[in-house]
Amino acid sequence: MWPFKKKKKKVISRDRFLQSRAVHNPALKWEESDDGVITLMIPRSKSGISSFLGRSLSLPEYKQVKLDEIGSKVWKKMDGKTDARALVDWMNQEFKMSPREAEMALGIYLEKLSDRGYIVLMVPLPEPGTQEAKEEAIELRKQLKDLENDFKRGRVKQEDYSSIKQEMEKRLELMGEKSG
Amino acid sequence: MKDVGWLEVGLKIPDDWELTAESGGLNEAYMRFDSTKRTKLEVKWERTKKKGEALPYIAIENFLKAVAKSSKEKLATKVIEKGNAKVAGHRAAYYLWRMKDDTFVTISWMCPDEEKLLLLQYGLDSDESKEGMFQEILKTVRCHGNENFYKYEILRVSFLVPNGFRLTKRKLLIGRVYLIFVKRDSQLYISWSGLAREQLRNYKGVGHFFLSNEKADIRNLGKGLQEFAKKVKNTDSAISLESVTKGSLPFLSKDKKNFLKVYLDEASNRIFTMAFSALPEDEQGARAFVESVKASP
Repeated sequence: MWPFKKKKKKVISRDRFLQSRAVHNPALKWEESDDGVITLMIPRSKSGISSFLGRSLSLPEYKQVKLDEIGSKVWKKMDGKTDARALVDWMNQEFKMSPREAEMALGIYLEKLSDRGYIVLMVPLPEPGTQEAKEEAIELRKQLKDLENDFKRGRVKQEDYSSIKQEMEKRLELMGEKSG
Repeated sequence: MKDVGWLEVGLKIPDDWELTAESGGLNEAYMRFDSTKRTKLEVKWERTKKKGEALPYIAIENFLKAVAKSSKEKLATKVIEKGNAKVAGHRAAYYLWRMKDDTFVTISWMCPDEEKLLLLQYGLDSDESKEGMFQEILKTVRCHGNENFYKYEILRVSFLVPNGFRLTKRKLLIGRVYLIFVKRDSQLYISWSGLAREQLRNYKGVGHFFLSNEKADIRNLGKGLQEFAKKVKNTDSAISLESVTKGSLPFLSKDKKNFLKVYLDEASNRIFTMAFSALPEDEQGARAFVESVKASP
């Protein structure tokens, strides 16, 4: 991709966002201090220039990211079972935020954590026949084509290709869309 | 259903709908409400001196032409039904129309009290008729102020704005909202910040919070309010100040009343700042504005 071209953000409906569940990246370690503040331990890259600099400057193996008081409380609620709607209700109770404010604040916070790879946001599939399903299907078909090209060029193993293709086709089917 | 009052329009909408876009407020305005799945309702208005019963029909026809023109796929709009209706006591025109798979009801009317032409559009779900929720909402629409005030109700905060004051500046940020209403030389200011208890842990008091976050916004509202900032102390737990700014020309310029109130509302966990700088004829309305604020968590 052209380095200065801005990547188009994927937009999901409020309904899908409210049904989504956040789960911590299992590769991350995190600590909780006595006052409840969470510090994330982000492993430093082991390749490239940052690794070289890290070794020569003897930087610690982990980069620390300290969440604020409210961010820490939300972090502890992300258990992979609680959906965003429940988090909004909890924020409304805990901080007396209006549902709309809580929803917007949570959306931005989860997007930031997800963009940085600190969490994985599990978003349900769009309902068949909706505009979202159509847009998501276009994106999936494109990815499927790329996968096929990579397989033909020998970049992807047969077993990986088959299982990923099967998973993508299943998603398309669940959205009521054709793979071709 | 919950109440919403914004940009001189009031209505009731289902609890899970939200105001997701808005603009204008002086001579025209726009607002959009989304359900959790899609855009359901859009309201537009513009001030106009024009009169005539055909005006709402012309407004809808022009609107449909504009929709078809701006459609990316060059889709045509097909009118299924048109007729007359009543909104807030005014005679209105409605069109039921379709574009590809989507069906909409667009309704337009003139509000002579306010000299406004309004247009409301409702997106029908595939299993929905125009007699259902659309009618329920339509019954609740208020396009002109009640007695002497407009009711504003947003993000669980409600307050009254005296007629004639227009929203000239606003910021609807996450966790902080501020609004400025202006009528000639009189100004009203309201702002609130959420997560008050959590935020105040980082400040010495409400005074410190005001000086750090609100002082700059008050600055443009006149000399009288600027002077207040000098009197506020960091440790103040609440602020209530009043003053009079003398008119610059004796016998010709009017004096202005200045008022500032900053306080923590424990129940809603918000810090409110209310201020006004008002000419004598607007003072009563400005005081009613300050006293009308209600917030729920």
